[in-house]
Order: sequence, then C-alpha cells, then structure tokens
Amino acid sequence: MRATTGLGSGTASVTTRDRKLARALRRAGIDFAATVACGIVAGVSHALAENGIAVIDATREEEGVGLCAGAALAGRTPALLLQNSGIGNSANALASLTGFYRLPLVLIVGARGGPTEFIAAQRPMGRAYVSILRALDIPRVTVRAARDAPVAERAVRRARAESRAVAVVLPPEGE
Amino acid sequence: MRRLAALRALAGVPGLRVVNLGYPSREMYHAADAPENFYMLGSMGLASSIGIGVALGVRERVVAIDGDGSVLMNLGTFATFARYAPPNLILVVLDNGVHGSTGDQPTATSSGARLDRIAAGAGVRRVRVVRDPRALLRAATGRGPAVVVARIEPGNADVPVVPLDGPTLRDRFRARAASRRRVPRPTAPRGRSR
Repeated sequence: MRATTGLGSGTASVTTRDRKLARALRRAGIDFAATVACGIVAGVSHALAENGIAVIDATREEEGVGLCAGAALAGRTPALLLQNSGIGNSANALASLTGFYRLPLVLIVGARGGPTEFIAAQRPMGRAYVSILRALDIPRVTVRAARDAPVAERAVRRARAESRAVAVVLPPEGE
Repeated sequence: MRRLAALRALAGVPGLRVVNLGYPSREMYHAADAPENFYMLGSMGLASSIGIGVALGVRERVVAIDGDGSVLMNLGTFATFARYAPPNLILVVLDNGVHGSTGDQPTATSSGARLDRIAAGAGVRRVRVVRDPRALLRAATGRGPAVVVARIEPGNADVPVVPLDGPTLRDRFRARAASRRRVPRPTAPRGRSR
C-alpha cells in the first residue's frame, strides 16, 4: 500500500513498512530524529513526522551524528536516518563521540548498492559499510518488510539499555 | 584576548556549555570546570552540531564553543543553525587563525575567510564579531540564536588533558541538563517549504 505525502520538505512514497517501522520506533522510545536525504529512508522520515517526532535535516551524516549526540545529552533517544554511504561520512563521529561517550543512537540505514542497484558507484560503499559497522562494534539488524518492524523495536530498546549505537538496515523494498 | 580569557568570560554565562576538543576543553576544565560543561575529546568539527542538538532539547541557554579550524570542517552547520534557529543557542567561534591544538598550522581565516560573513550568508540573522572578554560576555548573554565570532590570539595555556572518561562526562552533563528538558515536539524548519 503506497501513499504520497508532502509533509515537511520534498515528497516521498510512504509504504506500510515505513509506517509500521515509524510506529515501532516511537513505541520503543525514539523522540528525536535527524536525516540526510536518501530515497529508501525518506518514507520513514515522513512517517516519523506524521507520528509527531521532530526530524531535523542535516547537511551531512557526520553533522547528524553530532545533532543526535546533543539530543542524547539532553536526555532524548535519537534516530539518524541515512544512506549506507553516510556510514563512511560519519565513521569518526560514531567512534569518538557516540561510542566514546556511550550515547544511545539508532541508525536507520538505507541499503544501496545491493543486488537490484542501478547506479554502479553505489556498490563499493554498499559492500564496505557492513565492515565499517563491524569495525565500530555497531550491531546490525535488517527490516525487509512491514512484519519485521518488531526487530527495530528491539533494536531501539537495546540502544537505550546498553547506551550504544545500533543499526537498522532497510534494503529497497522487494530486494 | 587570549583563549583562556575568552573561556573565563564564557564560564560566566548561566546555562549549559559544549566545549571544543583539544586545548579549549583543557583550558576550560582547568579554569572553570563545572557539570554544565560538556567537554569534547574527539569528533572534531561537531561542537556546533552537539550544541544544536542539546539546545533543541532543553529550555535554558546553551553556549557552544567552537574554533575556526573546527567549524571550517562543518560549514553546513551554519545553514542548519539558521534553519532551526533554537532561540536558546549561542554559537561562539574562537577564531585565532590557526589549528592551535596541533602546532599552530594556519587556517583559512588567516588568509581572508570570514566566518561572520559565511554565517550571515547561510542565513544566520544575528552575527556578532567581538575582540575582548567584556564584549564576548555581553554577546553570549544577549539574545539568541546568535553566532559570535571572537577574535583571539594564538597560543595555549600550559594545562594537562581532561582526566575524565566519556561516560563520566556524559552522566554529569546529562544530570544537569535533565532538570531543564523540554517536552519533545515536532520541529519545523523556518521559512518556505520547498
């Protein structure tokens, strides 16, 4: 089921997976979000806004990690919505800020560069980001379809309980 | 003005402070440590971003203390600052024209880059340039949101590194911020929607 919304800036298709995921994130305690535009996570961003959660547009993923760290220091549980290439753009901040201070952070990662990728330049980071997350000791779960939303809920609870970053990977729907 | 004098002035502003990594954090810890201070020990470039994140979550004043070399790594921050414009946030850039924590290598502000004009060009409406501690204190206690570029001399005080670990610094700052949280609400960017 798809619907288009013009909430915030830009337009995006909001799918059932996006809605279920956004509700799961809110239920588990996400109350602040930042994003750098990515076609895969755009629908989640809109669904979060529909659920009353602030979504701040960052100019770069590293900046988004900083915004989320500030929110966590103010007592919130933040999510950063980004494309997997942005894991490369933010690796130092994930290590020396989120990791060093042990701050909660849920990364919602649009997984470009997979089997259905249509832009060849997406493939190198599509392979590398998994190793980068592993090197940063950031656990990773995957939400392929709407029925996987409870996996994201558990990931948020883990980020809060263990005060750490966790990654929720979203492949393109149907991949 | 030396950096230490600037930091002493900023320690007099009631509220929360985010302090840039390297010598700024070392000097602030030495001169005026307080649980209201969040000392960055890594993630160069993100003082302003952390400050925006804190300011959106609390009611009281937040002073983010950045540097010229650091903010040049994250110029997009001025656009984000202008767009969300938390009224309780003052972004102070201590501009000495060099990377003071790594051996005084010149930054682009030493060859003409104007951070005040970059901030204004990004849409920040209240931009101040100050040159002495009294003007700095006045700007940092004045109306927000504002970007304050403080021209300082190069040079560091001879002080040791901050001896506290990450979770300790997190906990004491967060406890101080917790009493001043504001209820989360949707945050819309200012200006026209695209």
